[in-house]
Amino acid sequence: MPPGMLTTELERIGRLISRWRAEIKFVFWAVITLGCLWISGVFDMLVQFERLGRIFFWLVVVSFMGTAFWRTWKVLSQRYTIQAVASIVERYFPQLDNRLINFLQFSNDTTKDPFKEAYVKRGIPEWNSIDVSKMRNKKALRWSLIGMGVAVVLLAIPCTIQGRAWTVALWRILNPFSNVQPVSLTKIVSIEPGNATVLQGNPMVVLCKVQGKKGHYVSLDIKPSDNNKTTYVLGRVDGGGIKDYSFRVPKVTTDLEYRFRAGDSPSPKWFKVKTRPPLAFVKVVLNVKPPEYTGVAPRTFDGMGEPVQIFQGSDIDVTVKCNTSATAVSLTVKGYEPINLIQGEDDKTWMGKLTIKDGNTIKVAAVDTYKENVDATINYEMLPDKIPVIQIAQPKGRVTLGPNGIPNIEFTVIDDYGVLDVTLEKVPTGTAKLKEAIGVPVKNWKGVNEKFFAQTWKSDDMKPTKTEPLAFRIVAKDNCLIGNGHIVQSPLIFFESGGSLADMAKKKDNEGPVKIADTLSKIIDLQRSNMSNTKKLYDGIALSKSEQWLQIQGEQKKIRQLSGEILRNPLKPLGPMTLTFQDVYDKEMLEVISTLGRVADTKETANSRNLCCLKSVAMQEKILRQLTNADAVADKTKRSKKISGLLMMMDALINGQTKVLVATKDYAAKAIAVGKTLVDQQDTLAADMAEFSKACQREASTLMENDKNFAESLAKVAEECEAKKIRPDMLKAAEKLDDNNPKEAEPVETTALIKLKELQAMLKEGQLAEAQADAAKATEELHLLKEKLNKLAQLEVKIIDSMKAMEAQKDMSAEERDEMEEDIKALKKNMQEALLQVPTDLNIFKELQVGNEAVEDVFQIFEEVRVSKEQEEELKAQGITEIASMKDDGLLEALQKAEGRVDDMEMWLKQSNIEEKTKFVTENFDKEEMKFQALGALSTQAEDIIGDLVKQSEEEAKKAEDSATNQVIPDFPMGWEVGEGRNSSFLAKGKSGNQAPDHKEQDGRGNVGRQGMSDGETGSSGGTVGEGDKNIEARRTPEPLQSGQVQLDGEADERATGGGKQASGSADSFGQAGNGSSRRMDSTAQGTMEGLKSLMEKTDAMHVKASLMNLRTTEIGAAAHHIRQADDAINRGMPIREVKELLKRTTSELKRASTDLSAGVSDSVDSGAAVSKLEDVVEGGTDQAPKAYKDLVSEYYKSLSDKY
Amino acid sequence: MKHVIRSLVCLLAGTTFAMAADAPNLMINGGFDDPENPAKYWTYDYTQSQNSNYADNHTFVSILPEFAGHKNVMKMDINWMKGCSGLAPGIRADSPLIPFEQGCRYGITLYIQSAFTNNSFKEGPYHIYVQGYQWKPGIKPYEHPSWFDMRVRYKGPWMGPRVGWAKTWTKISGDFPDKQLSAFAMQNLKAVKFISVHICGIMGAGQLYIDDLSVVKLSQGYTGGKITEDDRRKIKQK
Repeated sequence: MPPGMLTTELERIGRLISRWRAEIKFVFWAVITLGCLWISGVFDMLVQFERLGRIFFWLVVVSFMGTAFWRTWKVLSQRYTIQAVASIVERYFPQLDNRLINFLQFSNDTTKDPFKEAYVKRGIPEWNSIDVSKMRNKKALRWSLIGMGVAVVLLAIPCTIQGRAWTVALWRILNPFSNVQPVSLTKIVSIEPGNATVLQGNPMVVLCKVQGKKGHYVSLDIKPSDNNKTTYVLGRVDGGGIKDYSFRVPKVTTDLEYRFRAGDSPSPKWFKVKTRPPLAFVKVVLNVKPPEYTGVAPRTFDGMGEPVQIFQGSDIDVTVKCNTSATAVSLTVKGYEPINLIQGEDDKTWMGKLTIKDGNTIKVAAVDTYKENVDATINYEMLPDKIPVIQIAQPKGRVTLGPNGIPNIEFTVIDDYGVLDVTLEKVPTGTAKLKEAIGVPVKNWKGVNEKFFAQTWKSDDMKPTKTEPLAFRIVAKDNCLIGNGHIVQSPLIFFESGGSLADMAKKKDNEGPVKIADTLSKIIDLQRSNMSNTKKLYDGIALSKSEQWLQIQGEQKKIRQLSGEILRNPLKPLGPMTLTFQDVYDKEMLEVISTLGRVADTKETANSRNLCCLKSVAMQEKILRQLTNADAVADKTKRSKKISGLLMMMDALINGQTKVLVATKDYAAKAIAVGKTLVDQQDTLAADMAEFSKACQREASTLMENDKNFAESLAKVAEECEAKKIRPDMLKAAEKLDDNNPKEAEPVETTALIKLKELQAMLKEGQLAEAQADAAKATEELHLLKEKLNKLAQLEVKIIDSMKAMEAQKDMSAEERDEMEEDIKALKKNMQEALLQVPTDLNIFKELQVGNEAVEDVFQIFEEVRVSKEQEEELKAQGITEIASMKDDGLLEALQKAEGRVDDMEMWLKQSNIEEKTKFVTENFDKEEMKFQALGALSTQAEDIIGDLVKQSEEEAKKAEDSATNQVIPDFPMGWEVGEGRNSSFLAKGKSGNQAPDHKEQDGRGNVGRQGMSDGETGSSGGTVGEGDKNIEARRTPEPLQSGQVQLDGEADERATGGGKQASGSADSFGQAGNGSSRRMDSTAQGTMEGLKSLMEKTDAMHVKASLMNLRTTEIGAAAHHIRQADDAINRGMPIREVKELLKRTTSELKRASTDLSAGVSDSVDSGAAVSKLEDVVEGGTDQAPKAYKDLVSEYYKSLSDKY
Repeated sequence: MKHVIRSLVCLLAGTTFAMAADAPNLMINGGFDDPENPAKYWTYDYTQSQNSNYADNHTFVSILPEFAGHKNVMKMDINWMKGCSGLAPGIRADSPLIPFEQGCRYGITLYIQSAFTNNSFKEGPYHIYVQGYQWKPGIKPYEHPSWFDMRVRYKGPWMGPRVGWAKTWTKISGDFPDKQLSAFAMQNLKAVKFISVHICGIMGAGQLYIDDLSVVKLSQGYTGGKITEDDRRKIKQK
């Protein structure tokens, strides 16, 4: 074979080798690609890739495919040299023995080597026997094809099982961009609502329609934005048609995502639910501009957050801000057209204006883009321009003027924003309907423009006559611009002519008092006999008949009716006692009737009837006491009026004489003829002088018994009237005037006036002397009373000692014991009677009210204690003494009667700094025995005596530890060593002492004091808790905020030092609530008080002074009464508006009293009806009202307060 | 040498005299010697205090021109109702108020004589001790304060014999305050601005006579207990 042919042949073989190798390569990579496709298909069936997953697997498959082609092409493109091919052939066919290679190399040799040429010439004889096809790697080819077959089979097998699902899966991988869904057995047909926006807070229902293979589960995944995903299984597919699966989200509060899953349904999609807040008002700002005349500055209110007050006629700028976009906002006020607001800076802000003259609500409504509505009501308090109030300070009612009296009107007009015009009108009295009669203006005050207008008007030229009285009224108009303003008229003010002074005095004497005295005597007799009858009937109550009790009840009703008549008497015959009597009228007199009714009721049990009977007797006793007092007071009032009448006459004489003198001087200066009127006036004065002298003589004898000092001065005045010859002087002056000689009359008149003033001074001296004597008498009585009480206290000690002695004498015979018991019983009875006398004695000073300090203050006094060595030794030598203390029933009685406070006196700490040597072991009362504790108010000022704690060994302290006692003293003079004793107390005088306090469980009213166990109230408002018993247990108080809240200074274990610590904010721990009864004040109308005491004391003091001076005191008494009512209301925890109302009344009464007292004694006599206290007394406080009406009563007080 | 010794003795005596002269009687009108009003600055009429227990106290106290050799003497009548038992308030008097200098101690002396007809109590028939005062809230400080404008803040220890009574003029003395005070005492003493001597006849019935009350400042002051941080804070707050 020539070399040229061999080369061609080798090149052909080389190409053949490349092709064979490429075949294997291609098949190999194709198998891998198909395998990858299979895996992707399987995965897609299982996982159901999203597009991204499919693209990924598609890329993998495609990349394998690309690799296959690339690798195949690379192998195909590889070109072998003929030497390389020869070398490959040589390796496959060893029989060639390198001849092929050598042949190729020698044939190209240019050296002409014969050997080589010979070798070439020989050729390659073995070449023809070579089968090139044997060079093909059939094994690899076979395995590749097997692999290909397996791959194809693998691809085919799922097709037979899954059918179309497999081809779809393969197609989804091969074409990831196609939208073909994987084929599943169960499919989700639809989902509602898909992506949605819902109202925040509203429920939402999601629904899924599913069809598929029976048994497949349908579930819901919910993924709130603020929480983890939660899956709810909704049910199983039943294999039938399309079925709904729904789920209700009760409240969508945040954004969320959800999806449904159903069996093998394709990969579910997450749906988003967004929330939107409901339309609401964020802010409604009301800028209220009150009318200018009110002078009130504009004010801005947050309509949604604070109470709105709108002055009548105010312009209001309203700004409404919504939380989301709104399409319209409107305002509606009842009685007005709705106002549509204008959009502000954005569609959330809306603005508008309106003017309000009445109503009490503004309705704001808004609509949003979803057509949802929202509205809000803004309540406002309409502050109307109140009508002016005219108060006539003087006169009160119909006034009878003396001969020289002139009409005098003192009034005030009050308006909240200003009084504009005030007119005093004279009303013609001849007409039948005076109220409607048109008045003639007498005096005008125009353009006043003040809130408070006070004026005093007097007329010299207008005088009432006997036939025609004068009538006036005040008409006031305020500056209100709504309508024509408010115009009010005062009640008519009458002035009548009383004739001469003598006529007036006679008239006064003949009026009511006699009748009143008769009525009172009658009532007293009735009450006395009724009480006696009641007692008699009680003795045989079992045999008594219902009719008998009803008869007694009838008598009581009559007594109350007669008492009511006295109270309604406009002359106020009971004077300062009116209000106290009023209390009895309202309470006991009313209650006793119902109590007697119960006694008469045969349905009541015998025990109940007994109790009611006893109760009625007690009440009747009180009524009788009050009636007796009233009798005395009525007499005193009558005398006071007589005295004031005389003083009035004297004042009138001086006034008259002064006027005559002034007129005389005028005539003398002008040198004109003296008018007859002046002569008549001087003559009348002379006649009045004579009458005054007689009246003085007359009253001196009648007043001698009770008002000795004043009576003596009256007698003296009467004598002086004659001695000084005032009347002759007056007559002389009248004669001179009649002779038209004023110059000569003037000195005589001057002399008469001076003498009159001297007489007046004498009268006043007598008045003062009487007052001083009364005061001295009162003081003396109080001292006597105190001594009596002290003696009684001593007696009580003796009784207790006797009882203890009796207890101690075990060997005493029964007779001896009985005898001793009887003695003690007798002693006790005497004491009881003596004690009963105490309130009777005190009743003579009914005007005097005991007040407490009003300063909320606790001050501590540190006391140093020094003990001599001898004393110390002596005390050390003593052992612990144990004192057994039996219970004393007297204490229970004392607790029930306790009221008021007892002053402190000398006190000191135990003068020993060594151990407490006494242990009191007390016999306690049963709880049942302690039913009622009449606690008085705590003093709000207390001094605390403290010292360094005594050094005491624990062992000794334990030995001397007292038993917990409930033998409690309500109040007690403290003058003794400050230390623990056998009894506990409600004193709240809280002396800390220099020993750790014992554990007292029953009372615990104290000041800040030392650490120790107690409960109940605390008297102080602040202070430092001193070191005391460290071993303290939790305080037991039924009510953590019981009165006496302590603001603590510093730190201490204050959990057990009295009540109120919880409010301090410094307590280490709260005390546990105990089972003790609440110990609120049991304050009564005439009882103890707390707060307002300073005012109360002042008012009382003023009242007493005025009473002693025979001045008008009813108003001060009423003021004091109202203060006490207010104080009582505070103690009882009544609504503050009730207290406010009472305080307003107090102020009003004090103002009246001020006018009265400043007016002194005038020549006018009130005979008309003032406000009757019967209507004025607040007898139905909120607490007294039945439960169902409490709110109503509370509202009543509110309306009163608002109206005022 | 003798001259030197004499000089030294004279110097020493002079110094002692000078020292004695340096401690004057701080009490004003302690001997009731005011020519216009012997009871000037003394308080025994407590009507103003409105304490009913002492409303009539002044009726039991009088100034005698002479008694048992002493001129101008205060007499206190302690009767059965006023001084026999612990439940009675006693008769009391308070000396003029003198300013208290913080850190100083005072020596107090006075002469008493008593004539008690009934006293079965072991303890002294009378209480005599120094009281420290601060101004009542809201009172603007002024010179020679009225007792009624002051509030007791500190009570010193009792002075005088504990048992029996003084049948003749007896000088009793005491110091105020004690030399060594507790922190508690120190804390309270800090508020004291004035002191006065309180005399109360309480434990019997009879008469108590008082004269020549004098108060001198002692050379050595008092020392107090440890002041805690809490005390400092309270003082700072006040």
